[in-house]
This record gives sequence, structure tokens and C-alpha cells, in this order.
Amino acid sequence: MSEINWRRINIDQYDPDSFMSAEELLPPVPPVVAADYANLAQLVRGLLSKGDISQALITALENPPYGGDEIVKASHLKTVLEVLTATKSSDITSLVESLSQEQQTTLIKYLYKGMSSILGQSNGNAGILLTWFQKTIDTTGSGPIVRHISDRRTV
Amino acid sequence: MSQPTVLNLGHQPIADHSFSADHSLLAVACEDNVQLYNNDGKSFTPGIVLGDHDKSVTSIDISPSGRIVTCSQDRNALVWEPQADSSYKPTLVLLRINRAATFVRWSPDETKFAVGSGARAIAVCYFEEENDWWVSKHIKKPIRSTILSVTWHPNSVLIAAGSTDGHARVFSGYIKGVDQKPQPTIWGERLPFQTLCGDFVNHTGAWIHDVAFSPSGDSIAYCAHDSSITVVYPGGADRPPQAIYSVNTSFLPFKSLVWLSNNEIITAGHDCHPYIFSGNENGWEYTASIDDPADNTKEQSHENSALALFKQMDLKGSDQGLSTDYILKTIHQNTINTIRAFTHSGDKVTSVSTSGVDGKVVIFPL
Amino acid sequence: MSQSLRPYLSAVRASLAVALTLEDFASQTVERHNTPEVEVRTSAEALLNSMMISRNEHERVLIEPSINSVRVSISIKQADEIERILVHQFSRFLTGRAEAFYILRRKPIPGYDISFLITNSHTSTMLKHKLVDFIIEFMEEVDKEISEMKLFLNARARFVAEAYLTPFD
Repeated sequence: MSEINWRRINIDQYDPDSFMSAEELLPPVPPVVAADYANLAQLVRGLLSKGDISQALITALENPPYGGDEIVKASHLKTVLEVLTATKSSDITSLVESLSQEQQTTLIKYLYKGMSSILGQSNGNAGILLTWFQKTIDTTGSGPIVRHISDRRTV
Repeated sequence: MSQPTVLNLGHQPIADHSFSADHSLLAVACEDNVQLYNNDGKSFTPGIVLGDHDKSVTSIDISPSGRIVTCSQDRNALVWEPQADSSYKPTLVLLRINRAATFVRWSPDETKFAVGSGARAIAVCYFEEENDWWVSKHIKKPIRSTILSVTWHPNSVLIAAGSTDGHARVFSGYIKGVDQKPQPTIWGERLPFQTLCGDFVNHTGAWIHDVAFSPSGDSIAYCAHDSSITVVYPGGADRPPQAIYSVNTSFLPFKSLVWLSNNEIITAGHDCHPYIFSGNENGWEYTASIDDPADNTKEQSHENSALALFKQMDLKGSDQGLSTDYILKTIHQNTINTIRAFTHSGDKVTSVSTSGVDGKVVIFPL
Repeated sequence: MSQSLRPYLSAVRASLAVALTLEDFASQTVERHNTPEVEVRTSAEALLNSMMISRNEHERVLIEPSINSVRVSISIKQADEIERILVHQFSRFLTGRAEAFYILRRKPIPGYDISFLITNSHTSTMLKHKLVDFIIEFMEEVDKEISEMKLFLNARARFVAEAYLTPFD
């Protein structure tokens, strides 16, 4: 017990109504079943191989795994990145316009997350993501960025 | 539409401002002091400085009869009574909070005021005759974070508050012996102190910067840091709300909002100019903006060569022209902190006043 | 200038403009204090989600917003040993003079070469759009500066080598 430096203990953390933790701030989100997202990834890949990028994008962005753990989130990020990198840069603007406001916000969240992951930074993917980012905010204004930083639900 | 009136009051950020009921006095919270300005109808001349606070003054409100209440990050609030020789006498307020006071508003009937604080409490203060001071009762449950704004229902009993945990809540601030028994409203019938009458969260859980009751008192609106405004129509006591409308915008977040009538709301914030929303029980939408930079065709003072402009776009990703010296095309050059109703005609607000970080107070006719 | 600099900087610009929506906020954990929440990290509700913008594996910007402060960290391109030394010396030169820069953080956060800390008092005394311009300008200047220094260094090295290797007459 003599190992503990009593003076350095943050006693406030033991006060039950002192702090709000990040988990408590999270508004209620539906729980996530990992298998659902594995199926979703299959579905998206199927759509991609058929060349239906618009539908693939909407499917991938529709139900982000807010309630999932890091593994589910990372695998879904991979799915979204596959769609984003498969798109021709001339099609981006029209694709973004076809999304709902909610989906545009989710797209921006994935762009930021993509750029912070190794996968999104390497192999020239960063350039693609930056093009997506620019074309998205040209269409939507800064609203989705505001909602990305202020949203307690992360992708 | 007539032109907005612009008052340049220095370069210090203005946390809050308030006009007296007859507009003869303007009080401005500027750093540690409260600066009063006297209005003789033509111009505003600096009056006395109320300087008893020793940390930034965060909020200020003038009651209909001319009493000024201020609160500050030094954890105190003061009530300033006007004296015969046009000076002000501070009266002690026993706030009993141990963090910064963030927001203060008089109740419409002037018998109480509510102070929001970082101590996870709202202090409802009322006057105690025998001791000649203001005492407070705390609303504590279930608040667990800093209160960013408080507002009163027209019946002077209900309080709405917005906080950093993303909740907009409606409480009862009924104090026995001070208040008459309130009429039952749509928010509830029996309202002992600290009753929670409503609790609303946006699905993003973003901070609530400001809340306001509609003029009828039957709905509340709040603006959150996710650039949205939300209007809630309650469904009666202990029942889920009848309708909640969230309008997400593509602007920067709003800091403050005011109901113009039961069907119109004006908001302002980090975008430096006001926006108007309108709607009713069936839905809300964004309708217009005031002092929009896109409408301002005033020539920029410097000349742009095509090459310089191209360079600007290519290197800095900006299409604003030369970056070295340009000003925003709005009147406010920085965030608007507070927007308040200025004049009324009937139950409709006909002009609003705004104050911002750039040290300006502007009166916008509508 | 390379192709992808423009979307990179415009993404940083758009993100910064949103992150700089600050307000005065007194600490809710320590009495009578007003501290940058992004640095003390004591209350979860005052912090916002961070944004990372990357141009490739080496060049990236991390923007961490909170209610009254924003931390902007920049990682500068370092392709070889010489550039690494130059960037190190350059950031040391700047951080040693942080008083004159107001928004410069004295120590970059781990993994980055230089950090800025912008608080609400900065956004209220300086114009917001000019702060954004300053950081963007800094980012493009830094690249240019480093490559210029590298060229200069190489030229000097060549000159020195030539001077030493010239046979005596």
C-alpha cells in the first residue's frame, strides 16, 4: 500500500455526482450486432461489384455503428473507405447531392476518421479523401463539420 | 426597412447587454466591469461604471423598474438599486455557489431572479426584507454540468435552463411565501419547487447555448452547438411532448435566440449576423437572414489582380480575395453573444438588439 | 506547389473556422479558475470530437476543439535525415520564442512538430478569420522554408567540398 502516493489521487473522481463521463453524455443509441455489419459489408461489396456506387454509398452511410465497439467501427470504416476509393472524382458532387442531410454528416465523420487511420493515409488514399471532403463541404456548407465535432455519437 | 443602429463601444468583448424598459439606459458587461450608457434619444454617452466584481462579468439584466442584476465568474451576483442621485447601491446576494455564475435573468414579475452556474445548480433568488439581502434556493437535481442559460416562463414560476451536457430542462421555481399559487399550465398542475417539468436532449447531445419560452409560454425553443434550433411543444404533464422540431442548418452554431412572436424565432451566433426561423405546431424552417454578407455588395477597398486572386485560391484554399486586409461584410466582426428583443408592437417584436465579442451593440429593425 | 496542397489547406481552413467557435467558460472543477479545457481535460462535456486532416502519412494536422480553446498540431513533411534536423531546429527556434507568438504552444504534443493553442481570449482580441489565415499561411510557409533551407544547405555543402578538394597551386 505504501506504493500509492495519496497526495496525487484525484479524489473528485470518487464523488458520484461530480463528473459526467463520456459514456453518460452519449445519448441513447441502438446496440450493434457485429454480424449485421458483416452482412452489410457483403451487401455493399456486392453493390460495388455491380457498379452501383450511389446505392453502395447510401447503404454504407445509412446506419453507422454508433453503439458498436472499436472492432465493429474499424471494419465498417474499411467498408466505407472501399466505396469512397472506388468512386470517380467527377461523380462525387452529384453523389453528395443525392444524400440526405444526416448521411452527409455521417460522410464527413467517416472522412475525418478515414484521414486519421493508417488505411486512409497511405497508398494515396489521403488525396482521394481530401477531394471528397472538399466537394462535400462545397455542397453542404460547414453544417456537417459542426455536427461532427459536437456529436457525442462517434463512428 | 430602416438601417440598423450601430454602437461602437470599444474593442473589449461584450459578454451581455441589457436596455432598460424605456431605453434610456444601456448596461454592458465588459470584462470585470459593467459600463452604463445614458441615452438622450440621439446618442449614447458613457455613464458610471459598476465595478464591484473581480472576475469577468458573465451576464446582466435590467428589470422593468430599473434594478440591475449582474453575475460574474467570481461566484457572486449583485443587485444594483438606483438611488435618487442617479448612482447605484449594490445589495448582497447570498448565492451559495462555489463555481462561476454564468447567466442571470429577472423573472417577469421582478420578485425573483435565477442564476445559472458552473456549480451544477440554478440559484433562484428572492428578497428577504428583515435582513435586506437576497437569499437563494438551489435547483440541483438532476443537473450535472454547467448551466449555460436560464429563462423565465411568462408566469414567473417556471424556469428553463440549457446546459453543457446537452439537456434543455424545464423546472419549477415556485417559492412559498413569495409567489402566488400558479395557474395550471401545459407544463404541469402542481408545481412544488424543483419539479422537473420537461427534459429534452438533441440526438447529438451537443451543448445547449440558449433556451427561450414562446410568448404564450406553451412551447420552448433552444439552440445547440450542432448548429440547430429545436422547438418543443409539450403534451401536458407527465406525457411525452406533442411535437419536437429540430432544424439543422449549414451555418456555424447559434449562441442566443429570441421569439419574435409565437411563430417566429430570431437567432444569432458565430456567423456574426442574425437568422430568422418560422413555423408552428406542424413544423419549423429557416426563412431569412438579416445583414447577410451575400447581400452586401459594398466594394472591397483593395484591388485584386487576377494573378494574386489565383494565387490566393491555389495556395490558401480561400476565395476571399487578398487575405492581408479584409473585413467581414457583416456589421458584427466577431461572434454575437446575446440577442434581445428591443421594441414591441402588440405581442410582436419589431426590433432586436445584439451584442458581440467585437465590442459592438447593434439594433436591427425587422 | 504540388497538386494536393489546395484541397489540404482548404480542408484545414474549413475545419478551423468551425473549431474556432469558442466562448468564455470558467472551470467547473476548480473554483475561480478559467483554464483551457482542451489542456486540462477534466470535464468530458466541455470537449469536442477531434478532427484530423492528412495529406499523406507524414503531413497531417490534428485539431482538438473544446468549449474555450482549440489545439492545432501540425506534422511537417520530413523525407530524409536533413529535413528531420531542419524541422527540429526550426520548431525549436519558434517554440523558444513562444511569448512573441501568443498562440504558439511551448511544447508540441507527442507525434507532431509544432502545436498552437488558441483560447477564447485570443479569438476575442484577434479577428477569427485572420487567425485562420495566419495558421494557413504558416503551414504553406513552413514547407517552403524547409525546402529552401535544404537547397541552401546542399549548395553550401557543395561549395565547401569544392573548396577543400581544389588542388593547391
